[in-house]
Amino acid sequence: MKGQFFLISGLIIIVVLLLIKSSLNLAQIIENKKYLEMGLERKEFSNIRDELVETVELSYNKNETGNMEKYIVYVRQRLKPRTIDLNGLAVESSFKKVISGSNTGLNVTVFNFLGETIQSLNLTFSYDGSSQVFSNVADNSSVKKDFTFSTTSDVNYTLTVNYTTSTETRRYSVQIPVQIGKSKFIGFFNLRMNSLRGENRDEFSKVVETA
Amino acid sequence: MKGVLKSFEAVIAILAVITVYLVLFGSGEKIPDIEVVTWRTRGFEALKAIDEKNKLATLALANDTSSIESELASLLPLGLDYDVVVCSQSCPSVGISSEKISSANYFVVGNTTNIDPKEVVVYIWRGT
Repeated sequence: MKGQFFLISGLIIIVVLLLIKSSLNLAQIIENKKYLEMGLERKEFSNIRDELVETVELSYNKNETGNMEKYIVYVRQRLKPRTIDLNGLAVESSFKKVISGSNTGLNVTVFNFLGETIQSLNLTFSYDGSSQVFSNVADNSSVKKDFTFSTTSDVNYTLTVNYTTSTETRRYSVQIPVQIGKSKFIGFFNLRMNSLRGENRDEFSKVVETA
Repeated sequence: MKGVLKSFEAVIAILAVITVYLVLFGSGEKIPDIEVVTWRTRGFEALKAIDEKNKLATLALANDTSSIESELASLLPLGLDYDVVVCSQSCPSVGISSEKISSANYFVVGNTTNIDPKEVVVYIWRGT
């Protein structure tokens, strides 16, 4: 009887172990953890995006340029050790107070942070169809082009941005809403955040009336 | 003879339990730790709440980590310890000795008087 007691106890322990194992459902726990991590990464991406918008608002209220590049370069540098890549393209356009019938300059800066060189970049302004082609725009660098327009009424122009890298070809149409008596900054951003858990991306514009 | 049989049955029972245990739990498959992810999420949400009160950027620019920690006191669950650092180009080192530790990262760009991006990091671990 005492020997059987050992066998019965062993059997009970085995049943308990089986119950523990089945209640753990490891696959579900792993899935839950992944879901939580991806949710947190989405929030972190929103934080980066929102602060970029904040940079635009703060900078152009103070008439400071270059802060967006500074912010993007900083965030990229901070994310790198966490094996997270922040890549994308920023198209920054601005014009000073528009006077009816007078020439006004449209200053365009394209900042490449795609993580690779842009082999060919073409900017076309719908006002007069004028364009500019740039070659070999390195990662973390920008190019500038000044266009000119003259209007006697409020109008929406389009800035077309075409680029080709070794991995992709893209075309964006950025609306430039011109109003007589107003000066504006128009930012277009393509943001992509890649990590081991996946990718978050967004394309958005931000228009700010400047001083 | 009876004693030997009892011992033999006991050995069989022990071997059976060990075998089943190794088959079920011995594959090296670790149970993922969800707690640290939860701490990170709580830390991030807490920093976001401070930012939404328009306090975080100003405190980060001033490198006032004590005030950020005071703000966190009411936002993080009891029983957790935490330490805040503000990173510019690099992060100050922290000396925390805990078996399990998590960190939440939050970016701020500055305020109306000073545009200077910073990363606020809160390290979270179970209190002693």
